[in-house]
Amino acid sequence: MPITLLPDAAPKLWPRFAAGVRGPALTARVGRLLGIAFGVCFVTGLLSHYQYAPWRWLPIPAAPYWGYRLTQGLHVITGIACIPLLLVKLWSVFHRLFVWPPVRGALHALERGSVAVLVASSVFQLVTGLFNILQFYPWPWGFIRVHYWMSWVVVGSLLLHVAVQLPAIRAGLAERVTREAATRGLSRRGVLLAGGAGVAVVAATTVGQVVPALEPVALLSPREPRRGPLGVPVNRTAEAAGVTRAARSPQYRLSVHGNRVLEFTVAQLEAEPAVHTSLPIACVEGWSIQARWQGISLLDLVRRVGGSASSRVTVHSLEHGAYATSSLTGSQLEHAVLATHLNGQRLSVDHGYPIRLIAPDRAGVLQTKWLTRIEVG
Amino acid sequence: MSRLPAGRLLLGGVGVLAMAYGVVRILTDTKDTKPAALLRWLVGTLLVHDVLIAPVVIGVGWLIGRALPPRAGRYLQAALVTGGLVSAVGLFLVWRQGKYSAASLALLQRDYRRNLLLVLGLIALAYLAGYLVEVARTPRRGDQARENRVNVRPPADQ
Repeated sequence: MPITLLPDAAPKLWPRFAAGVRGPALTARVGRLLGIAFGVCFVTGLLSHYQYAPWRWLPIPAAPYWGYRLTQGLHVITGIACIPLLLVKLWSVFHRLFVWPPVRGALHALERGSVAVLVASSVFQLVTGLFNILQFYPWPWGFIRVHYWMSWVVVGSLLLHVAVQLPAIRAGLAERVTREAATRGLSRRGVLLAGGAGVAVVAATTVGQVVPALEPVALLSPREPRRGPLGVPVNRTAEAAGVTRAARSPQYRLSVHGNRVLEFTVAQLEAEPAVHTSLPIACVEGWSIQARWQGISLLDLVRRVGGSASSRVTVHSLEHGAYATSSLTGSQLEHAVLATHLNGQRLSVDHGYPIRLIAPDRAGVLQTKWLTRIEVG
Repeated sequence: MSRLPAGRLLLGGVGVLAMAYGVVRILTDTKDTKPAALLRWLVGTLLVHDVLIAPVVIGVGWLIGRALPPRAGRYLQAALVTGGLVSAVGLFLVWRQGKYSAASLALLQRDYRRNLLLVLGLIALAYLAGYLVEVARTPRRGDQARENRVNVRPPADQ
């Protein structure tokens, strides 16, 4: 039912934009790419979320050991590349913001409302995601939960949007992308090429924080994974975690609790038979770096206190707070190492001295540092 | 109103459910999500785009279209689109650069101001080169007219 309170023609002050080269041919193509990118971010985001709270019956697999490195690198680089992509998409439909009448009825109002939710939540999600990578939190809420639940809002409103617009999307994709400029200015093809170049440059200059071979051109990557002490960055220093004193104390002990209790001094830990492995540190913030580790097999220790490969093992750090403990089961437990050495050198206190956890296909914050207590359940 | 096909109804329905799930979880965990502040941010980001970014972009494009000859205008617009999109990410890095004390973080330790300028300079050079190549390839208007005159000259008496 039309709303009769509004005049047929837009009032004089109502903004008018000629569509120009904007239109379904352009929007559908940019939208398709953006939809795929959002899908990649959503799925890799769910995988990352699962790292923090896996179900008991479906433990995180240890293989491929670079799994999290790949999925979280994809998540962050795709998310960054979505920022320019979303700007092009929004530009291509901006004139539709001012259609007259603004609302044709209840259904139309709902549809426009859902588009507003989609746009607001998408811009919000990308901007706050970027801020998180930059460890910048100018807001009062908890980033992790809001980012996770907001992703359901983004994906839900995106699915609704696709359902509503499907005929227009099909028609747009069937339409040719013209070379000719409709008015003065870029043609549709010109917009796609210039916009695509912008997205490509952003991706190419940031992906080096995941792919070491591309680090020389990583002019705009927030991180430099090769730059930290012992060749690996440190996200949380011993000072920040408040553990410097306890980690260096002569009273330091690592205790392992199962059917019986074992206790190790630093010298005893260093005297244990060593295993060697090469595993990446892959941060939830998207950077990653492969490194060589030396240490004690966690499963060996677990067996010595009566546990087995099917045990659930919880490791505790000297630090207090959100990431003070983490748990391992299944194949991750089998391949986990309590590391004493990194890249051939004794761990520095910022890297988790005297001993830290390193396991394959595992989020960086769960590679718990400054271990003091291990519980075998 | 014509009935929607079942596939689209299903897709839309799944979308509404997913959206509702996110909203309900946000509204039931207010201690962690601070819905009032969240809503201000959502509306704020929408306004920054719709009231600030989009009108400025469209206005600048319109001005270029008016002020420059069509071909030069097109190249400048394309260069600004590419450079603007790169800056949309790069300026955040420039803004936050130098705000982290611990060098061990390896976070924002590059000179992003220099790097962004370098990338923007390369983009400008690439478009300038493209423009010059296109100008060099097209015969000048005078040449074209002369050529045309040659072509339209009636055949000499034979």
